[in-house]
Amino acid sequence: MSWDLYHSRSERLAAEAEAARRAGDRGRAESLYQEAAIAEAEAFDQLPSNKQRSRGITAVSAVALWYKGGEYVTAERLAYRYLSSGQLSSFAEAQLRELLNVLWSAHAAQNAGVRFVPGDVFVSVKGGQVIYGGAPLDLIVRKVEGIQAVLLRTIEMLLARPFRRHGAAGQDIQSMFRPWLFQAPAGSYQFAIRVQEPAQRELWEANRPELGTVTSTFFKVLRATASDPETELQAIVPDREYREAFLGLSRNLAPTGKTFERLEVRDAGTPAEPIASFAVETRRQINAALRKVKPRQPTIVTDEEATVFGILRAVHLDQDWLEVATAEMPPTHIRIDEASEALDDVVGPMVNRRVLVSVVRRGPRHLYRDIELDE
Amino acid sequence: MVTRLNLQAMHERHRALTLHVAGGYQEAAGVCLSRHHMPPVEITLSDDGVESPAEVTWVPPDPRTRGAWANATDATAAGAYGCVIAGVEELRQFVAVRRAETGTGADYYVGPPGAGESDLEDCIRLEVSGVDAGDHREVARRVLQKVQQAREGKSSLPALAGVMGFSARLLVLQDVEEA
Repeated sequence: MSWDLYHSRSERLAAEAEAARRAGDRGRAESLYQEAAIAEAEAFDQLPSNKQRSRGITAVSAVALWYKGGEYVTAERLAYRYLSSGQLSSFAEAQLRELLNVLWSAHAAQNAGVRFVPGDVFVSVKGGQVIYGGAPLDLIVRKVEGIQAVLLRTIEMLLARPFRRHGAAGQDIQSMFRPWLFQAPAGSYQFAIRVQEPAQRELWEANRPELGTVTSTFFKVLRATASDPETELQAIVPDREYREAFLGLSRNLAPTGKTFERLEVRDAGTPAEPIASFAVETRRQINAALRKVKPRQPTIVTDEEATVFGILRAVHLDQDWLEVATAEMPPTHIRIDEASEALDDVVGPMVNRRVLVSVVRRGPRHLYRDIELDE
Repeated sequence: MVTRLNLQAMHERHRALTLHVAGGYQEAAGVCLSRHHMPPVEITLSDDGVESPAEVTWVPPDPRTRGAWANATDATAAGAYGCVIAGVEELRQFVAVRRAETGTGADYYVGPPGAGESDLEDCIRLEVSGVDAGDHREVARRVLQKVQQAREGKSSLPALAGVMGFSARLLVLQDVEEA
C-alpha cells in the first residue's frame, strides 16, 4: 500500500466524520475520525524521510484526527513519537507542540467532566502585553465581565424587557442562565465561557428563551458590532437603545492597542473561524456608529467640545453626574454633569480606571457626552 | 466570453472533494448566496489585487435544503470552501488535491491537476474564510486576518488565502509570502 491509498482512505473517512458531526451524531463522528487517524498514521509510515513537507503535513493530520476522535492519550503519544524522531520540519514541530497544548487542556477538561460544545464561547486576547498562555489579571477580569454584560443584555432584549439604563440586571434575568468560566486550549491567551441553565426550572421562567437562541443571538450581536456596527447591527437589534448598549459594551471589549491588540470570540463548535474579531480599527468603527445612534443633545453657541482624561473616581448616575481625577499631581477633580445617559454596565467597570470622557464645556460646567476606557 | 465560477460537479475536477462533500459545498454556497441575491449574479474576483468580473449561478435552495443548512456558521464555512476552490480553479488553474486535518478544522492543498498523487511536496495550502453579511471592507479585513493567521501558524508552508464575501459579491485570493 502507498501513501496515496492510505491518505485517500483517511480523507474519505474524515469527510464522513465531518458530515456526521454536522448532523449532530457525535459518537459516529468520533469513531470515523479514529479510523481516519489510523489510516493517516499508516500514510505517514509510507513516506521516505526526504519528503519533508508531506511528512510534516501528514504527521500533524494524524495527531489532529486522534484529537478529533476524542482519543487524547493516543494523540499525545503519537505526537511525542513524531517529535522525538527529530526528523520533522520546523513548521510541523511547531504545529505538533500547539496540538499538544490543546490536547493537555482537552484531557484535563475531560477528566474534570467538562466538554466544550457548540454554543460555548471561546474568547482570546492577543498582542501587546499578552503572552502565550498569560495575560494581566485585571485585563482578563474586565473582558470576562464585559462578555457577561453582553449576555445579560441579550437575554433582556430577547425577553423584550424595558430598556435598563441604570442598575444591574434583574435577579430573575441573572438566574436564568449562569455563565461559567473555563480554562480553554491555550491561545495567545484564551478562556472559555459556558452559559448553563439552572438545574431546576421555575414556573415563572416559562417564557424563558432557549439557551441556543441566547447564544446564537449573542454571537450575531457580537459579529455585527465587530464587522458592520451600523447596517447589520440595526437588522439584528432594531431597538435604538439596545443598539446603543451593545455598541458601548462591545467598545469596552475592543483594544486601544496599548495593552493588547486583538480580542476574538469563537463558537467552540466551530473554533477555526472567529465569530467576531475586535481590533483597534474596530473601536473607531464602533465610535462612528455610536455617534450616529446616540440622540443629539441640544447645544448653544458658546458650547465647546473637549475631552477629559483621567481616573474615573466616582459615579452617581441617578443624580446625573460622574467625577474624573485628572492625571496631573495633585489631581484636579472634575465633576461631569448630565451623565444620566450613561449606561451602568458600560460605565461601572471603568471606576478607578483611566478613561477618556467626551464633554461639552458650557461656562464652568462639563456636560457628559461619551466615555471610553483608556487602557 | 463571460467568466463563470463553476460550482457544478466539483468532485469530477477536484480529487480532494468526494461527490458528497462537493455536493454539500454547492448546496451551502447556494444557501449563502440566496440570503442576499437571486441567480445569476455577477461577482468580482480579486487575485492578488487584480480584479475581474465573473458570473455565478446556482439553484435557489428549497426549504429542506435551507433547513439542512440552518446553522449559519457551518453554511458560511462550507459555502466559502466551494466558492474559493472554484475561484482558485478559475484564476490559478489549480485544483484541490488533498485534505489534511488541523486542530481546529481542515486544510485543503491545491496544485495543478495531477499534483498530490504520491506526496504533497509541490502543493500549496489554501486558507479559506467566508463573510456572510459584511461589505468589501469586512472582506478585506478578513483577508488580512487570514494572511496573518497563515503566517503565524504554519510559517514555512507556502499558502494562498481565499475569502468569499457572499453579500459583498467579492471573492479575494491573496498569496501568503513565506516568513
